[in-house]
Amino acid sequence: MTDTATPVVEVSGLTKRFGDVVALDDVTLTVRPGAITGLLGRNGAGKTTLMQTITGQDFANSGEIRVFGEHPVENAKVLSRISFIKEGQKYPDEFKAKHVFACAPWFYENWDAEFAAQLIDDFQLPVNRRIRKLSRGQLSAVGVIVGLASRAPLTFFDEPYLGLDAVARQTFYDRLLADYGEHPRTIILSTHLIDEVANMLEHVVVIDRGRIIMDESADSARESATTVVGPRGAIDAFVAGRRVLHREGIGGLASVTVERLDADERREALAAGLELAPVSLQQLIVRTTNSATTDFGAEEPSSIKEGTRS
Amino acid sequence: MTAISTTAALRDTTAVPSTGRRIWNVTRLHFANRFSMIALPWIIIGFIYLVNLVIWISIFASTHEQLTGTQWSGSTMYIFVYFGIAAVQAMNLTFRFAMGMSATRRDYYLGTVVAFALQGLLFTAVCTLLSYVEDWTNGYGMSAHMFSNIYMGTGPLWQRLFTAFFAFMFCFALGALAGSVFVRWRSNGLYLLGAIVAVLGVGFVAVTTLTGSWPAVGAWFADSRTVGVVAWLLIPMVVSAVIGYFVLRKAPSRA
Repeated sequence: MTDTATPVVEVSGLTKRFGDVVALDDVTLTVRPGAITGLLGRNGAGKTTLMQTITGQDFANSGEIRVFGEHPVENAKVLSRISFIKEGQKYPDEFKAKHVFACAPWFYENWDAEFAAQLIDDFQLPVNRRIRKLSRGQLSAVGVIVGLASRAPLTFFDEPYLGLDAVARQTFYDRLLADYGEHPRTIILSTHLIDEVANMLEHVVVIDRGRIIMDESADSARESATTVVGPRGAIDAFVAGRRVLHREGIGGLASVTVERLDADERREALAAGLELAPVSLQQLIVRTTNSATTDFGAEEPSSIKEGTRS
Repeated sequence: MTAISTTAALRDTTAVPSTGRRIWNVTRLHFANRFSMIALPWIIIGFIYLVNLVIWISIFASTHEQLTGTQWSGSTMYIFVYFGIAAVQAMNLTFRFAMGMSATRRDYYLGTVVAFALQGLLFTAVCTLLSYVEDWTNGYGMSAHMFSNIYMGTGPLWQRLFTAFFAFMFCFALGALAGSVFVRWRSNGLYLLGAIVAVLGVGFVAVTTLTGSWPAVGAWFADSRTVGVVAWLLIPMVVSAVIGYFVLRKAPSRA
C-alpha cells in the first residue's frame, strides 16, 4: 500500500457524541481512491455515524474531515460526487419508486438510466407501487439501484440489503463488481454479512465502540491470523508466548487462533504435527471484536482472553 | 490497486452543477410527484368551491333573492392553512430524501422557497382570475362570493395579486420555519416554538387589554385594510424565512 494517490477521504481526530454516548472516539482514517473498502463492525459500533459525518449529513463534535481534499459539510462540490445509500433512507410519502429514479439523474451527473432500467428488471422492482407499500427487500433494492446507477466517484453503501434474499444479494454483488470493473470508483461498503462480501473487499476497516481497531488491506488482514489445530499438549507448547485471539477445545483436541505466523513458524507447526487453517475475515472480526473464549474441555479453566498471553 | 488512474479521471470529469441548477433540481424534486403538490391543493379548492356552490344554489332556489354576506367568505383561508401545513410536511419528508440525494441544506432550502413561490404564483393567478369572474358575472347571478371576498378579492388588480401572493408566502414562511425546527429538533422543538408563539400572542393580548387599546387595534385593522395588514406581515414573513434558513443549515439528517 505505497500508492501516492490523493486520499478520497481523510479523517483525523474525529469525535461524535450523542449525549453521554461517544459514537466516534478520536477516529483517524484514510480511504484511498479506487478500491472497495469494507467498513465492518458490530451494531452500534459507529459505522453509520462515521459515514454520516463524512458525507456531511451529521456534524462532528471535533476533528477534521476532508473529502476530495475539502470539508464536506454544505460543500456542493464535494457532495455532488457522493452517493450515500443508507438502510434507513426516508422517501416522501406519496413517492413511488419511479419518482426516485426520475429525481436521481438531477443530482448525479454520472447517472446511467439504461443501467438503472436493467437493475430494476434484475431486482423485479415494481416502480409504480408506492414506496410505503414496498416490502423491506424491495425498499432496499431502490437504494441499491440508486447507488449503483449513480456511479458517484465516492459511493457509500450502509447495510444496503436488509430484507434482500440470497439471490438478490448475489445479483447486487455481481452487478457491483461488474460495474466497478468498467467504471472504477471508490466504494465503502458497510455490512454484517462479512463472509458474503469478503472476496470483494480490497481493504478492511473494522470499527468497534467508536474506535478503528483494524485498517489494512484485505489480504494482509486475512494473513494476520491463523488457526492451529492439534492435540492439546502440542498446541499448548506451540502457542506458548504467542498472543492467542481465540481458543476452542474438545477433549484432547484444541484449536487456537494466533496472530500472523511467518514461514519458519509454519514449518515448525507442521513439524509438530499440527494443522494450519486460514481464518475467514468474519472469524477474524468476531475474534477481534469479541473477547469471549469457548472451551468445551472441562478439565482446565477457560480464562484465556484476547490480549493475554497463555 | 491498478484502478487509481482511471478513478482519478472519473472523479475529475465529474462536473459540479451551477448553483442555480442545483437549486432548481430541489424545486423539481418537490414537483416530482405531481399529485400532492399540484393536484391535491386544487382538489381541495374545487371541493370547497363545490360545497359553497351547492349552498348558494339551495339558498337562492328557496329564497329567490340575491345572497347577502357571502363577501365575508373565509373559504379560501383553508387553502392558506393547507399550504402552511404542506410546507411543514414537505420539509419533513423531502429534506432527508434530498440529503440522501447529496443536496446541500442551502440548496434544499432555497429550492423549497422557489417551489412554494411558484405554487403561490399559480394560486394567486387562479384566485385573482376567479375573483374577476365573480365580479363580471355578479356572483354567478346570485351575488355569491368566494374568491371575490372582501379580504383579498376586491380592490384594484395589484391589491388582489399582492394580498393573495404575500398572504400565501406568509403562511409558507411560517410553515418553513416550523418545518426547519421539526427537522432539527423534532417534536420538542415544535413544542418550544409553539410555546414561544403562544407567549407572544398572550403577551400581546395582555398588553392590549391592560392598556385598553383594543379599539385602537380594531381601528388599525380597519384603517390598514387587508392590503396594509399583509404589507405588515412581510416583516414576520421575512424574519421566519431567515430564521428557518439558519435553523435548517445545522439540522442533521439521521435515519
